[in-house]
Amino acid sequence: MSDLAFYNVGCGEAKGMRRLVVLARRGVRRILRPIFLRQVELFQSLCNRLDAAERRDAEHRHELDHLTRRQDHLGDQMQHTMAFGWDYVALVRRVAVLEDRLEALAAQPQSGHAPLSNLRAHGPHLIQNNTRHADANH
Amino acid sequence: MKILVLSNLYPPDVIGGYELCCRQAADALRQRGHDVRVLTTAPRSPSPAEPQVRRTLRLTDVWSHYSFQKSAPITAHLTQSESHRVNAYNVHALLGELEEFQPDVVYVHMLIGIGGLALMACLHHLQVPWVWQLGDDVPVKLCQIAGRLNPTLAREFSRQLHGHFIPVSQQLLDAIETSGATLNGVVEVIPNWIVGPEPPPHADYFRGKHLRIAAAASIIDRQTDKGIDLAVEAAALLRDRGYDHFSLDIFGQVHDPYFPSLILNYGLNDRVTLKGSLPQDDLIAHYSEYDLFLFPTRPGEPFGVAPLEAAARGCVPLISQTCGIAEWLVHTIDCLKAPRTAAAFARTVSAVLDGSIDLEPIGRRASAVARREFHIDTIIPRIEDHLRRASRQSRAGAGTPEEAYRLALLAEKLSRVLIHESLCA
Repeated sequence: MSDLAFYNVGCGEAKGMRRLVVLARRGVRRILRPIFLRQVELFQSLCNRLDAAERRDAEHRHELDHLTRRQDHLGDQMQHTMAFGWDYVALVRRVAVLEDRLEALAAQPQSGHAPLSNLRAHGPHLIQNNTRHADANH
Repeated sequence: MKILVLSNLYPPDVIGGYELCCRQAADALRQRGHDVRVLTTAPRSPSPAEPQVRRTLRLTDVWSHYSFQKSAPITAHLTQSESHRVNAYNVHALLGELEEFQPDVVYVHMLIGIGGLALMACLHHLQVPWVWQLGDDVPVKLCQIAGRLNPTLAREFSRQLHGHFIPVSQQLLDAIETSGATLNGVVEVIPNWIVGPEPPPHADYFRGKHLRIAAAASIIDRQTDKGIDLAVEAAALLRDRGYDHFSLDIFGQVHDPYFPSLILNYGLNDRVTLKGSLPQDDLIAHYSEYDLFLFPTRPGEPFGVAPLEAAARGCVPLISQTCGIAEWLVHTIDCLKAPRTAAAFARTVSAVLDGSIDLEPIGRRASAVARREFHIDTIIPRIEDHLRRASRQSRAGAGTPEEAYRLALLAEKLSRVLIHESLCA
């Protein structure tokens, strides 16, 4: 807690000639007391606002740290999810190829299986065919 | 079919895998009986002449980060304009080749460095059918000005360029389309490929003795970000955890002194070796000598052929879980995947070193899958199908070569004037 009673400075006990100065100061202080008290109220209000702002700032910092940690965590999770997604894509492509190969093998006559080299034309990317139509002006 | 292949670079002049794939595809198409001619740039170092390769284009080199960063803003803008948007000289060269060769279809590869947008606009103006092999987000880069996508360019790109696109991964396609450059026409995701005869089976996998790990990148620097630094850090973590029965060999041309320093700083000289650059065939043959191939590349990596080449040799790829190749290989079935951190890669390698992951079955399956489903013999018929379908496209309403060249000259001059006015006025 700050001591805001600034007007008491220099009004303590003194000896000798300084007593006169202190008495004069005390007189002035008495006269200006309402003004000083109002000024202290204003200082106090500013102090309160500053304390509140600092508290809010600390809270915000805390929240920001929390959000940063959460963001990092979500970023990691997203990376893992994306990685899982691409792994899934790779797996599905592989399954598509295997299905094609199986179908080709099943379609072969009973006499024997086709050599694998005959089935090479099947790529691992059948699901990725992405055809779009041109603009009307083409 | 008469196929004109259009590429900024062509082996032996290469920067990365894009140009190597271009050559492999051109060779494979030639072997299938097509008349294939390649139009590319004059090589950056002397290379032997080939009858079917015309090196008449002019390259604007935008890959030298040092000189690009040191140049004045106006120089950088003019260079980028010539590299990405319009180079009338190259349009003239393309028109000459179209006139002389009369291709049924143009098979487009990497267009950065040769004024790619104008070349595509030229093909569009002449209604020459094309198939664009997308091994990178080239359409996005072509529509960028000073590193940012220009909405007007992207809109016109999407509105006017209609053809066949072959992106090498769904992730690449998503990245291009979310950037704002919509691919208009027939789009099919087809993976990159491996070439060559079936190698002998991988013998003698790690069995508690010494784990031989490889990593590779064409160019090792922080700009290309293939994650070589993560591989080194993972090695340091493993050493710190008490694992000493492993070694890491890194292949590629080191352009950045950061990497040798990193190895020195971690005190890993005894187990991490920078092996330098090897010819492609030699490098692939070397993969047979390794058990594990680390590929901690950036998430935006369009594909990544190196892990596939390693897989074909039975060297188990350990890859970042969200790069392009990750959508083609299955975790623990024919590859290993990990989040893109040194700790995660170290954790997976330590599982191998502890014996909780057996590499032999994964390597066996990886090798079989790579040879069976990603060999160029499997892939090229699909590309050929696109080329054939594209070649049947009507050419009604085509403009003349004179118009195309005049437009290119106009665009080039206009582009220069606009850059001068915006930066010097």
